[in-house]
This record gives sequence, C-alpha cells and structure tokens, in this order.
Amino acid sequence: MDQLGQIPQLVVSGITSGCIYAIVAIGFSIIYGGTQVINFAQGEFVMVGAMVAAVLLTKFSVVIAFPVAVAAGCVVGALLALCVLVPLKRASVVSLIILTVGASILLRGLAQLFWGEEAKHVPYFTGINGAEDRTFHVLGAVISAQQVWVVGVTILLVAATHLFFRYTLVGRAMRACSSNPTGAKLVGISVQKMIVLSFVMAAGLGAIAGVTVSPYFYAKCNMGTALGLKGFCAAVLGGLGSFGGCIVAGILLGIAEALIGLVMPSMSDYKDAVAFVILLIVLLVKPEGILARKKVVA
Amino acid sequence: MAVADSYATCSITRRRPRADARVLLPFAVFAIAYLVAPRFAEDKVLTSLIYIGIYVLLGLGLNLLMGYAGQISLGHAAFFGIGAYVSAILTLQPVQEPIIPGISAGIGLMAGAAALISLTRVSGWKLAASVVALLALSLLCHALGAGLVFTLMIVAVGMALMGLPLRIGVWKPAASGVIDIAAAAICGRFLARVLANGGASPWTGIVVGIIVTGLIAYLIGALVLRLKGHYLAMATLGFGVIIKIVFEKWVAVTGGSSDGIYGIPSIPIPHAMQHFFSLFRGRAVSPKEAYYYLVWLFVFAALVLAVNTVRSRVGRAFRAVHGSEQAAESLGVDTERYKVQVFVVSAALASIAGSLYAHNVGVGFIHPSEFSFDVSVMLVVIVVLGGLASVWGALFGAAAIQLLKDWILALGKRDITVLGLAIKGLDPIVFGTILVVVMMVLPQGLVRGLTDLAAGAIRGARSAAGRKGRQEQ
Repeated sequence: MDQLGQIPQLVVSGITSGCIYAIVAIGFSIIYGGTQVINFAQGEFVMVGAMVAAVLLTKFSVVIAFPVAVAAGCVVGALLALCVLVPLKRASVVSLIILTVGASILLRGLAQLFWGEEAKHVPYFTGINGAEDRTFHVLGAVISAQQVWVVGVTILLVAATHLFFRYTLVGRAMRACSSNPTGAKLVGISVQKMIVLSFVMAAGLGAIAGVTVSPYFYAKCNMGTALGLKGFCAAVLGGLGSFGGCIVAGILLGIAEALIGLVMPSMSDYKDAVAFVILLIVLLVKPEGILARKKVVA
Repeated sequence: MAVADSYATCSITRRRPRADARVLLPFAVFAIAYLVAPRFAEDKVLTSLIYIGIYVLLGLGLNLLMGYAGQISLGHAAFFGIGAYVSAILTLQPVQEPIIPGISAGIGLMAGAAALISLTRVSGWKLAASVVALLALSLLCHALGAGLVFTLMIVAVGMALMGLPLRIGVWKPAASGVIDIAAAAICGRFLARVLANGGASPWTGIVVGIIVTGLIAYLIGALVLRLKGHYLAMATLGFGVIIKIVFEKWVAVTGGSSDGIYGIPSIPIPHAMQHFFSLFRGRAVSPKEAYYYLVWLFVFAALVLAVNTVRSRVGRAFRAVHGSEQAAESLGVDTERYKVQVFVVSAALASIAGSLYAHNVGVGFIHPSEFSFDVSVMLVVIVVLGGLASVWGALFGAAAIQLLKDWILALGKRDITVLGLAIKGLDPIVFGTILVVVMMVLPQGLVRGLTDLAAGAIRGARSAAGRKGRQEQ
C-alpha cells in the first residue's frame, strides 16, 4: 500500500523529465526535417542553456538570464549549422554523424573548461528564497512550482512551434524545404537559410528546456549526452517528425524511467538504461515500422 | 600492352593476385621497426608504444567496419570493455557463487539465440517469441530438476513444436535449443569452476573474452545492423551506454564505479618467446619490453588479417555493401551476413585489445570510465585521422592520438593558465575540433584527403604546365 502511495509522486517527476525529452525530440525532428541529419549535439544545446542560466542567475534575475541563455543557445545552433552546411552536399551520412558527434564533445569540453566540472545549483524561478521552492499538494503528490514551470513551458513551446509551422510563411517555407528541397528552391525559398533557421530553432528550444529544467536537475557540463540520447529515443518511438508523437513518447519514457524502480526494485540502479533498452527492443521487433516513417513533415 | 592488361583483368580464370612488393614492403619495414624499436626506446616511450599498439588493434577493427563496410559504430568502447572485464574477472577475483548459474544460463541463451538467428534467419516478433520459449523451457527444466540429457530432449522437442506455428521449420529451432542447453552446460562445467576459483591464466581470459564478446556482437549485430545511418549510430551508442551502466552498477561482478578492478596480473609470456625477443633486444627482455613485443605481435597478426581481408573476395563484398547495399544484394552478395561478420571480427579485435589493456604491465587496473562514450568517440577519431578505408592509416591515427594524449597530459601537469582558465582535461576539445574540422574539409579522412589533395595539385600543375607549353608552341 505504501508503494502504491508513491505512484502519483513518481508519475509527476516522470512527467517533468518526460517534458524535457519531448522538447529534445522535437529539436531532433526539426533538424532532421530540414537536413536529413540527426544532430548528435542536440543534448548539448540543453546543456548550454542550463549552464549559461546557472552562471547568470547568480547575479541577475530570471528576466535577464532567460533570454540571454536562449540567445546563447541560438548562436551555438547557428554556428553548428554553418559547420554542417559546408560538407552537407558531398559528405556521406557517416561523415555528418562524425561531424555532429565532434561538435557535441567539443561543446562539452568548452563548457567544462569555462565553467568547471562540478554540478551547479540554480535558484528556483519562483522559489521562496532561492533555496526552497513553493509546493502544492495534489492527489497525494507534492508538486513543486518549478515542475509547473517545466510543464507549462513545454506546452507553450509545443503549441508555438506547431502554430509556427502551420500558419506562418517562414514555417511553411521550412516544411516545403523538408518535403522537397528542389521544389522549394524553384519557388524561391533559400534552402540554406531554412537549414540554418532549423538549427537555430532546435537550439533555441533546447536552451529554453535547459534553462527551465536547470533548477530542478542542476546544471552540469556532461548533462547533454544522456539527455540527447533519451530525446532521440523519444523521437524514434514517436516517429521522427510528428510533434504529438514526440510528446507522448517523451512523457511515457519519463514515466517508465520513474516507475521502473517501483516495479522492479532490483533494477532501480539501471534506471538510466531503460530508455535504451526500450529503443533496442523497438528496433528489434519493428525496425521497418520506424524506418518507414522516415518522411518528416512538421 | 594495354590490350594484354585489360585481357588479364577480364579473364575469369585469372588467379588471385599474388602478394606483390607493394603489399609486402610495408610489412617488411614494419617488422624491422617492430623488432629493433626497444633498443632505442626509453621506458616512457615504451609505455606509449604499448598503448599505441592497443589503439591500433581497436582502430583496425573499427576501420574494417566503418571504412570498408560503411557501418558506423559509436559503441565500440563496449566491446573493448567487455574484453577487458572478462579477462580481468577470470584471472582475478572469485565471483560470488549465486551469480554463476545465471551467467552460465545467460551465455547458453545467447548461444541458442545466435544459433536461432543464423540457422533460421528469423527476426522480429518471431525471434522474440522463440527466445522467450527457449528461456521458458530451460527454466521449466530447471524447476523440475531434470538432468542434462532429459533437459536437452525437452528443450529440443519444445522448440521443434514452437517452430511449427511460427513457420520456421522443426529441425532448426530444435538444433538451436540443443546448442542453448549444451552451451549452458559447458559453461556450467568449465566457466563456473574458473569463476568460482578465480585466478585463471590470462591466456584463458583472452580466449573467453573473444568468445563472449563475439557472441554479444553477433546478437547485437544481427539486431541493429539492419538499421542504416543515424539509426545504426544511435543504436550502437545506446548499446555502449547500457554496457557502461552495467560495468558501473553490477558491483558484485565488476567492482562497480567506486573501486574498479585492480591488481590484475600481467600476461605470462612463454620462455621460448621471451628468448626469441631477447635475440633482437640484444639482452634479456624486461617485462615491459616483453609486453611491448607481445602487443605488437597481435598488431602484426591483425594487420596481416586486415590486409588479406581487404584484398580478398570478402573485402570486395564489404566495399560493395558500402557502395550500395541494393546493388550488392542484386549481385548475390549476402549483405546481412557480411555486415554481421565484419561486426563480429571488429568486436573480437576490440576484445583482444581490451584484454591487453587490462593486463598491461605495471597498471593492472580497469575502471568503467575507461570504456565510456568518450572512448568510443576517440576510436572514431583514430579511424578518421588515419583515413576511412585505409589499413595502414590506423597506425598513423593511433600514434597521433597517443601523442596528443601525452601532450595534453603534460600540459595539464604544468598548471598553465590562459585567460585565467586552468588548461586541463583538453581531450574533448582537441578531439572534437579534429572531428569537426577534418569532416568539414576532408570527409575522406586526413591521410586519404591529403594524398588526394596532393595528387590533385600535381595533376593541376601538370596540366597547367602542359597548357603553357602548348601556348608557347
């Protein structure tokens, strides 16, 4: 009975991490749609956002730290886009994978050099005095204000991204590029600009996720690899390209991770492996199902 | 002359090209350098040379997979680690009793599943169902306390019956059931005794490491090599992360991440071999020199293997798979089989490298962090630096990486600060920059890219000179 009582709490924390996985997964989808490249540095965008915010929040308020951190993420995204664009046409998939992997560890190394290796505590956005957060009691679970922030920001971001791709001219131009680059070029869309824009958007989304989640997870220079991998799991499970799928898969993944310790206590040490085991099982049982949904139209 | 040449190439009865001077010369140079190097190398250099040899083994294996067959692996540190851990555990600590039957059964199940895949080519949910059946049947027999012969019969008949509704035949699933139980029984007899006593010979450790790594690679390869490009990269990456988590958390067997495993004995080198080495050294060899000779002997064998593979029918099949899988398949190349084969070979080389790493003279210590994602990336850097699809390039890549690492380490010790930042732990920055720049400018890899550039420049200069000459006329 005591164990059952833990479920609401675990679900809440699962949803919180799931939201981050979902945002990272959407970042993967956006870049994949534009370039057919899986960006292995996706998780580092989250890290950059979190670290910049962690450094700034010690001196400034959220109002300043948030936009600066997101801008930093966008700049990193734009730089990476320029690196990828150089060999995009003539390089093989393997070369592009190696390139983004290199960018990922380069970013991590730079963050380690500038900001040190230790985890940084980040004050809560709407905490009582920075060290302690406001909490709510709902259905037997304790929900902190930061968790509400994470979920709220995720919903907002997803809605905004969806509306952007559906209703704005630029968003539709990006969709055109992803479904048929040659056709898009013929009607006067600059494919290169759209590719850079897709990297900037993915990086911005990642950085926002990083800032929002940093008070909850701590900011660490090596947080990016695991987040990127789990985000990719969510993206594959949800079918690359479908935003709804990314969200559902991300949140399910988060909840599965949180509940594994309860269902199988002996496996709680292996919590971080859950996402990859799920990924490998899906690839084993239905690889063609995942590969068939290659088409990405946002 | 030209006609005769093209006739020779076309003729199907033409014999395999014999090893010519262009192939043998590098080996001769290599052999001489190998034998005389310790005469000129001080202790520190010898240490570096041992590590370079280990990296060459890893780089060669990964290059066969990535450079020739075009299949990426971002989890190769896992195979390196499995090799290291298996031989370290076998030679060293007695493993606690209760885990041993589980390990034997696990290896048996892996062998059974591998047999199932290779015999029936079954995949997807049918494979999952048959593996679950294998597991359930063996557990049932265990619960009934059945003897070996009886278990063999029950599992074989059960798998045969299982094969009917799945439409994968009768005999093949039955055979894989027999292999499962037989492998488990052999492990139960042999491996369990070694595990329980500890202190096996490192040579046993190397061999068992290769077998275990090969089995795991076969299974993982059969599952993930159907994926292409990014999916394959992520799947192998995920596999690598899982294995590293296992190294960290399976404390009862691996020592976990707080201690690691230490005090691993070195590999005993037979006296005849030591005597042989001392002929070239000029005096009796020290343990470190002997280890250097041993490591590079493995490298030599691996180089011969790689050069021969690349020049053979198998090597051409790899390149065909790399070029276009559909085209290769339509010409009768069994792409799936070749991909799994090259994956297993490259994992086996990584396993040997892992054992050599674990038993290194004067170190004898391994830790999960030595087999992390960063190491997998470093292996990719070795391949990229040396040039994709270049056997001898692996030597260059491995040497470059070790020199870089030594340099970074020396830099970190000197407490230099630039712009108020302590320069330490530069590996990720340096390796990341190398990957990004090389892939941006020379996607072929450094050596190949540079030689291509040079060839292009010479050709350009020649044709420019030719034009000039004509204009003057």
